[in-house]
Amino acid sequence: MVQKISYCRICQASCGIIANVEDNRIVQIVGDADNPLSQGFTCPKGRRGGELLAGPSRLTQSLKKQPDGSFAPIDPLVAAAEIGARLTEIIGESGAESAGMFRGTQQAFNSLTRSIAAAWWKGVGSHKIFSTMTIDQSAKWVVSGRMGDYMGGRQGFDDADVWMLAGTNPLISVNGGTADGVLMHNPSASLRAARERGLKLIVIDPRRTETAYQADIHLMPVPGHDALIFAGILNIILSEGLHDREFCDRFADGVEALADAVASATPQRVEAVTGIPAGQLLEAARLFAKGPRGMVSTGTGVCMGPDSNVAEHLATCINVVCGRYRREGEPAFGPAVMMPDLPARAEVSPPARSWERGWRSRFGAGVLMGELPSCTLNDEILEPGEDRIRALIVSGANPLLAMPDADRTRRAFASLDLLVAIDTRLSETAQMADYVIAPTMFYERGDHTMTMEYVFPKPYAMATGPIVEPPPGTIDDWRFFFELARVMDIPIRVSGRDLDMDAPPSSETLLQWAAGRGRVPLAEIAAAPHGLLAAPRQAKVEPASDAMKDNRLQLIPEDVAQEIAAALARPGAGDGELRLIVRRMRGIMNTLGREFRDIGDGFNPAHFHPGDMARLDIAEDSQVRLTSRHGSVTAVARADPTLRPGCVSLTHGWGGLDPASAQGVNVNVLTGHDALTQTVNHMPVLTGVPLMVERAA
Amino acid sequence: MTYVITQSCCVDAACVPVCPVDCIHPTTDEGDFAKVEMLYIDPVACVDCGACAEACPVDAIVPDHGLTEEDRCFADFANAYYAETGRAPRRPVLMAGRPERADAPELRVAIVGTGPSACYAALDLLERRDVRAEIIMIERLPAFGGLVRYGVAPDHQRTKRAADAFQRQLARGGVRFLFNMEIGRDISVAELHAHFHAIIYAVGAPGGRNLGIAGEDLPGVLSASRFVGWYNGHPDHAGLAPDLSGRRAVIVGNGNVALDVARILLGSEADLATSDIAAPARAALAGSAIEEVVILGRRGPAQTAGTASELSALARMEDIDIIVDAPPALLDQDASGSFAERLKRSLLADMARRPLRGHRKRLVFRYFRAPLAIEGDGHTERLLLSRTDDADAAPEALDCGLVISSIGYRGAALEGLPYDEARGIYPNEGGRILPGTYATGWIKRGPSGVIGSNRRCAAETVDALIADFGAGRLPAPSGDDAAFAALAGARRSDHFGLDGWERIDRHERANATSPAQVRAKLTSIAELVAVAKG
Repeated sequence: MVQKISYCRICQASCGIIANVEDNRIVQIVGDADNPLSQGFTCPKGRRGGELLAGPSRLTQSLKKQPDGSFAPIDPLVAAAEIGARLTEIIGESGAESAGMFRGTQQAFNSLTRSIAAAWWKGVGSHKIFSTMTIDQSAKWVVSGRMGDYMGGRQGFDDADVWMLAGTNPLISVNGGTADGVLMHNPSASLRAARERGLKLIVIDPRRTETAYQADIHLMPVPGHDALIFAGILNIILSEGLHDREFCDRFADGVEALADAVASATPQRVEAVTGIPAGQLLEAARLFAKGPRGMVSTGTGVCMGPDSNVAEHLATCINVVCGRYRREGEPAFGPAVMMPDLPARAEVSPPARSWERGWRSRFGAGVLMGELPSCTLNDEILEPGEDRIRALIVSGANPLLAMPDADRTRRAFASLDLLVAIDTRLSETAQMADYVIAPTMFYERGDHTMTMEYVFPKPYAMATGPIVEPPPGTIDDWRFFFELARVMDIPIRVSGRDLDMDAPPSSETLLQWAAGRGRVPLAEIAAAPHGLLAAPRQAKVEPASDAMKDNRLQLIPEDVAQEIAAALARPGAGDGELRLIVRRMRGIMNTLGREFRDIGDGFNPAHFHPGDMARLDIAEDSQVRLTSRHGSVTAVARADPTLRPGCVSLTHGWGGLDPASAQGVNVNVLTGHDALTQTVNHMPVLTGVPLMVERAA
Repeated sequence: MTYVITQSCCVDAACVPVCPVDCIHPTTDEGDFAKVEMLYIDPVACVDCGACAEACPVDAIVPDHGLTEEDRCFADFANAYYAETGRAPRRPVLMAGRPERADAPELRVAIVGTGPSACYAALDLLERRDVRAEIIMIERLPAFGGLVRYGVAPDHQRTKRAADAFQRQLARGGVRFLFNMEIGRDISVAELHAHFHAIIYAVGAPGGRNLGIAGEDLPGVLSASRFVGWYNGHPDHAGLAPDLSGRRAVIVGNGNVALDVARILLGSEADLATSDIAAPARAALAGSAIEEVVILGRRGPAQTAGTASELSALARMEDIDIIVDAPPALLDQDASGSFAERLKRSLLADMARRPLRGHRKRLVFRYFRAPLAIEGDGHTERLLLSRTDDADAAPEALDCGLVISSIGYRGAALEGLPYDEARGIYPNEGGRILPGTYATGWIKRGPSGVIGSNRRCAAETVDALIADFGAGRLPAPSGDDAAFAALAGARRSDHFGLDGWERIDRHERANATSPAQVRAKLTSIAELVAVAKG
């Protein structure tokens, strides 16, 4: 038995771990207390990494769907040759746009896959690329595209006086919401240390979450009115003159128009709609504005709710009007170690509005951060059109569960001419696929943290080799994409190099090339067994460049103004109305981990406030029927006194293909497109959905 | 946020090695471990990862925001412990988990008993990599769990979950079971030995120690072991029918068993709602006339034998009055004594300060008292007491209808094995009675310690067993599985295996009388066997 040091790649936190390896099996995983970032912390799913690799549901060979619907094993390189030929055929018939790719979280935590897949896709030449980003957090991209970005950097958590978390529960999700490293590493101890040095924490969440439990102020609203809450906070700050005039004068346009736009969001109006006591909102707004340092950060609760784009926009406006960014001459925030070290400047990068330029889909969707909104994928497949998607490659994702309107997604996937899933298990999506490619998993491959650096709060880097051998039938994801490219005669260029398509480089070489422009050599990082905390960057925030010095953040462009007006006018919940909210289970990462038998209940209970259960005469563990305007599911009721009355809380990413599956309820049966679907990113409402609840027969 | 260890802590220390920051103390190699009542998580060092909660067999570890009102005191205990001891220096992370090795030699072991000491012995054997242990556990009763089922108080359901954890792990390890088969009655010690390399006796201490005073034979005098067996539905004691018609009951001794008995005697029906107390006991207690329970201690309050955790369970009872009959000076907070002693003294001082509210029921702690004799005309009417701190004081008479002696348990002799009459144990060295014959748990070391104490006790015994096996001192058994099965079948037809026990378990859970209740226990051998046989 040997102990091996590595880091977890189930989520972006990249926690350091020590694995106990015996006969090529990971017997146990414990947190590495010597890792400077995670300091011993791991989560339940991370500790079950060994089970994820070697558990019964792990796919150890690639599969091809047979005419009778069954799967037969296939060599992954043979599969790549067949898939490449079929893709070439389809593209030959219907053009490059008839091919699509959907990328998931598990691709994101694998640095080589991202770059090789992207290089291959560039050669395919299709715009039809999607990812899970546009079903949970693309509101942040929309804000950046419409407001612009301040390039001096956000204020950090380490020296903040106050922090406001909305719709995020980092003590469970290990993610403070905005990709700035807040409460991402060793979150509980980090929060405790911050509060001991005086940080005031404000949490906005309809549930008394693990994080809310630690808050100085917990605003517990009726879900679905985040835009109104943020508008209410802005209204207090601007009308009481608590904002940072100097920052606003220098960097923002539209502060007065913003003040007018939020003027209707009085504390009384916010209380009437959301149930947050007016006095508590005032207290929270004043505490935040007093600062002087600290930010609002938001999570999926805001980004997946109604009016998500303007809710995010208004949250960012709070940061802007309070000037919670690093000014010229302040130390620059720089976690870059392997990434190129770019200077921070006290300037604004203007709104890009990428979706208004260049290529548009036949459904009017433009390109957002290089991809199309996932919520248009079903239309792309099902609706007639010359560039209809006929072939879809799914990499490290389970869109059948993750996407809204689950029934329609299933119909769409069933109508494809070619569906390929690259997945470590026979997920709901993989079960529908023509080919399932079984990839290697983390701990079976080397990697480094370069692509995660942007979310680290400190200049930290770690490199790891494989700590167990992969099952012989598996293939590295990147190698599969390389093979597709080779078969389709597409050249691959990564890290500034053209690859020899007849002689693929080793993973080690590719990783070495990727890190070639960092400020610390990879060899030095690899020599630090517990990861390396690089010396802090000495750089300061530099003055604005001449080209950028006149740019301003656009706080209230015309389309945003209209959307704010619509959002603030929305009525509150009717008497006794219940609304769906979604939560993350501690043992599960998106759709991954549902098979751990010792985590949770093994199914997806619907949590109710005990008062609602009494009112509706629902018994603990009884079956309830939840119906939205989009669909209906039957779930098991559980009492949860931490909920605000009026909420029904379930976990995202559950449910089998069979609606009666014991695996649990897929909340995406309850979601879909309607008048509340957002512009730009086409996001429907995925949380805060009104529900009808009745006892199931 | 931190995790907090609560009342059901079994001190088996499974949580300690999985903590990445070494914030659970004392560890097994720290000085006070042997004496400690429970383990504590350092709230300042905890990183809230929850690894300890997953490792805990009795679900004793919960996040602080999930603490119930009555469990809040355990967060205070932890704070007090670390305020006093400071933090121990970090040690390298230990790793558990030892997968079996297929090519190791086979070792056939029978374990007599299915209580915690038996289970820990089996689990320890399963983890050994130098042998491939084939284990059968033989239980005289038609039910699994020993004192977890029949000793742990019925309102301590979290502690009782230890049995579920044991059963799950043993089943996964391929351990087989033989229920309703008594060694010494159905199968002799010699016969058993002919079929296995080694036998581990984990038969516990079923009897209570005698008070050794006049009147002990009067009706109304009971040993705690029988009383506890009665309310837990032990088939041997289910028909006990103790006399609860008097106003006062006296418990001699103030260890955890005494505190359990007092809590059960004074509790309301609501207190027992979620418990699995045996139905006859539930009914009898509902009609009990007892209004006062006196707990007698031979020494002073600081020497109360029960743990702080059990004292706090009594202190949380809202609808009784509590009197702590001890001079205030003895309850004063000063720095003398161990952490546990001071914690108990402070809990007792809190109880002593609690105003009397005129509740119908009350609990009285008395100290420096020893029983002299029990008197009465055909049944218990009064207990005579002497003072242990004043030899010249006149005896005191305490009217009472029930005396429960809770001064310790005692092992019983088994034909074919040596027995130390004075200590009530099988004489052994580190668990070895003879090569091939071993003991663990209370029959090995005497009746002390909590569930988790048996883990290290069993490890020592298994060490001795493996050493004997390695040295060739354990000859291959003459009978194999088939021969043993034939022997068992010939002696009794109403024995059964794990499947039978699982049927009982399901049946009892399904027949719970309310949603809150875990199970409705079957209390007679005949009923248990009938359900097991399907």
